[in-house]
Amino acid sequence: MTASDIELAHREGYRSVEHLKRYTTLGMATDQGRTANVAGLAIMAALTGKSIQETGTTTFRPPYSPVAIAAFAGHHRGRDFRPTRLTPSHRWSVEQGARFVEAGLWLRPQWYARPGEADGNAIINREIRTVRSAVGLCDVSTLGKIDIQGADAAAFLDRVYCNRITTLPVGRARYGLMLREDGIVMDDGTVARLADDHFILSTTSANADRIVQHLEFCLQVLWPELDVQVTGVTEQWAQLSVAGPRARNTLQRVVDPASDISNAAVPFLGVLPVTVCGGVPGRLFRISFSGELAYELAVPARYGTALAEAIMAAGSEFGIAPYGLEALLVLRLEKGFVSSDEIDGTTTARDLGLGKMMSRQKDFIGRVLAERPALLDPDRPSVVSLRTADPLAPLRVGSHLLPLGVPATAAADLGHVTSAAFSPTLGGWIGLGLVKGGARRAGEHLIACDPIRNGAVEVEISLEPFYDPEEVRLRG
Amino acid sequence: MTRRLAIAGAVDPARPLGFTFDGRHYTGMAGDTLASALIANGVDLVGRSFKYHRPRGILSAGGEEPNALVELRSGARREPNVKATTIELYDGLEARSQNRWPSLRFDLMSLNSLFSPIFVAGFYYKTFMWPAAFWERVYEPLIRRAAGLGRVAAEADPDSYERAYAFCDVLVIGAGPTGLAAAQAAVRAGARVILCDEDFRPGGRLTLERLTISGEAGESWAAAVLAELAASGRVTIMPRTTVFGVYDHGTYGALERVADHLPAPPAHMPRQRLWRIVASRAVLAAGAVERPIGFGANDLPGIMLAGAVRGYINRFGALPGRRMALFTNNDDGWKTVADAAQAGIELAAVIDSRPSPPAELVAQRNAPASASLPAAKYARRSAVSACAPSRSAARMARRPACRSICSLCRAAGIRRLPCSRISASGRPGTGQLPPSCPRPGRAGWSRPVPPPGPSPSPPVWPTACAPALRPHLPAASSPSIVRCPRQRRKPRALSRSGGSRAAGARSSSISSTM
Repeated sequence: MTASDIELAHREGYRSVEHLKRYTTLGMATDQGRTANVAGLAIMAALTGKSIQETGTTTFRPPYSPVAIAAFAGHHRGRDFRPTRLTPSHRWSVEQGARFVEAGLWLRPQWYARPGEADGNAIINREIRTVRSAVGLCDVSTLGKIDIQGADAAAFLDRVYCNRITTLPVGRARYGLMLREDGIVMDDGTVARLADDHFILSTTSANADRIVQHLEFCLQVLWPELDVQVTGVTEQWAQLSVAGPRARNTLQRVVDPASDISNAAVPFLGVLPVTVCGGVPGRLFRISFSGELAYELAVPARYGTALAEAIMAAGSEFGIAPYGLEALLVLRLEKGFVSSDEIDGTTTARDLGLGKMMSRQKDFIGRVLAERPALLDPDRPSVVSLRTADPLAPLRVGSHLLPLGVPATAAADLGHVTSAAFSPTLGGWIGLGLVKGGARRAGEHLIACDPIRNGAVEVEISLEPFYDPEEVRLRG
Repeated sequence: MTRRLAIAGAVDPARPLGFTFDGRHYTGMAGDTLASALIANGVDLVGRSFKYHRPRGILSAGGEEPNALVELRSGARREPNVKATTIELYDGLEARSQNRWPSLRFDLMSLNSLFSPIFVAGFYYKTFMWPAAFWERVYEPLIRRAAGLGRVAAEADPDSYERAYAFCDVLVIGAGPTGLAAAQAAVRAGARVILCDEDFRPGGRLTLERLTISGEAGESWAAAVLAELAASGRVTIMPRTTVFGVYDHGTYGALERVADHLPAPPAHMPRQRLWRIVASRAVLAAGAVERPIGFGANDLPGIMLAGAVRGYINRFGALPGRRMALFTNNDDGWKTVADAAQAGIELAAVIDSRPSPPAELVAQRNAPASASLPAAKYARRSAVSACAPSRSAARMARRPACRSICSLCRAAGIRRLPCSRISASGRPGTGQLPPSCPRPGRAGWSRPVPPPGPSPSPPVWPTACAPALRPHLPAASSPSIVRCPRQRRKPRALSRSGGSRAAGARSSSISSTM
């Protein structure tokens, strides 16, 4: 960069200091224009016949001198880039030999290895069998918990859920489905009514914060006139799921005798404020993600580890064992429950087989746009249960579903496998899939084609869950 | 070959520090910067320029340094493009020159400079237009390989960095005479004060110049003020801390170099700490940067800002040269005459480009080669057509300053000038100043641009808070902080109105630029 370069820039019309800078790089060096730039700008002033003030300087921006990116990052590097969230029972899980998996910011127990156990699949199968035959304990504290209070709470929930909430009696819970404004399903979960004006919502773990934001948006922007308060309380409660035929027997030893938790007092989807372990306040929800007789017991977060230990002690006689996320997902698959694999931002309530949940007696977010013709198309992919013709042939998530006997082309594609796992209960591979016109394909056989991994396996479509379709165990 | 004065200002001869530069061992002293230690060891060539690989020396004594960039430390802690003038020397410091191959003295890439007549402004824009397919596959990889300075470390940074927050009534940016006086006034008015300075030694130019305040030596005045501030209990003094930007709502970003002056941070200590300082008011006492003069080959080793020459002499006892020519176009540059004489440097010439430099300045100097150069003539020959293309890179590296001096002296009408160094102090475009413009006492200095950004209470230029350098004005009469806001003007507008950090220039209407 010489004075003649400035002359050249001037001749070629780059006379504004900003143009001069970009054309010649004057002022771009490591001193950022503190030294030679000053003389250069004065030369340009002389060439243009302007005063130095008129010529001016280029815009200076921070930082004044170089700052290492490391200083801006601070401690937010590597594992500390984002916070790691631990559940209140984390220490207990560690003691039980849990192997953890990252789920969003959370560390969730993937499975609990006993001394000497090394094969993850074997551990998962053991955990599933324990739940199906005896009783299991699962840490579900990561599920979103939202406390809703206020005179208009029920009316408010009627507007954000597609199904009716106002009719929910106190002391009961209901499965609820929230839609986005465009009619696509946003999240599912349960709504429990603790009092006329007091509800507890549960959401999927991943959506806990997003749903609070959504509800706040609705209250502050759409319906500010409603008397409702929304508080995210996910971290304030430790919540443990006790599932299996001996779940009630186990809990009767934990919940204080004053609370009756018999099938009559707390039926399926019943809710009961209780005290546990001699006076600790808790909330008992009879809800099940496994298809078994199951309860979720919530206590203030600081009792998380103590409650887990108490339940383990109470259930030892029945052969209780902790189970992790993997077993939880297989259990729900056996029961045909959808989760975030199916609620993937493209599916409607109808696609999920939950079309009847959309109330016709009230307005709710997403009602109008859910009726768009394309969303009503009977050929849209909808959720079906899948099971392989050869029980031991592995079914892989992401496989495309094609009719039998046609070449594997995109044109012939009918859908894909969204979830798959080996079910020890059924002794074979099962899954869920989104299949075009799935509702009319019961019993049909398709090929699950996995060209990347060279796999092709025949599957049979079912519209019923494979496990306990009559829900006898659930309500027992 | 040591070029160190027996009586050195702020370095401690009792604490020698060993360091290496390009693998050679040298010895500096506690209190040195890498630049001052290199100067004291007679090292002039410290780097190569970005494009033509021209030899580079040390131009300045502060954060404005454009030339003396080095690679610091090694392995995972290797840090490229660090200004030697801001590196605090420590025992075992390891620095290397960069952007040269195979060696600093013999750099093959300096052949680039032979093509400098071709590589004019806009060369890349005009040349690498076609074919478009070459943009990413050929041109960019080639240019990227040829360009660039230091190398970043390949390994992950092993050190930790912190973020921290601080709050105060008055943030004083710069601990020179102005900043110290502002902090003193603020704390006497009862304010909570944070005083930041990027240097490891507070005092600003008081550490670099022989100045007196109210008859007291500048450094001892600074020490007294610092003691008063420390005793007040309301001042947080943060050395090694650069305030780098102003952000919304009176928030200031500052970088504290906690452990950069140590070989490696101790286990409990972060290397650096990023501060967010929220201040009700801020006083920008960032000082000034001396302006270089444009003349042929003024980028070569051996050419140094006059104020930097004084700084190396006074603070570090390091002599930038034994024989030197001074080129100035303002009174401030003439200060170097006395400091150089005190240090035993022989001044081969003092060249003042003004038609008639003040007689009393000329009188203090009976040099045979003193010359006055008509401003218009200088501007035509040197400032505008400066930096004649080099003949031989190797020769430039050997006797760099001589060529520059030749072009200078030709302009000044001097035929021979036997010296090895040029000390330059300038204001740009001297020849273009309107005749009515008064010549201020301390021209030749630019204010550093204030850290910009929207703020409800932008930092104030402390013109009213800077009485420190005025003789016969007791420090106690410093204006209180209440008066500072009245002087508030938009920072950017202020940055264009030349002037210097010293009070002397504040009233003048210098029509120069930043």
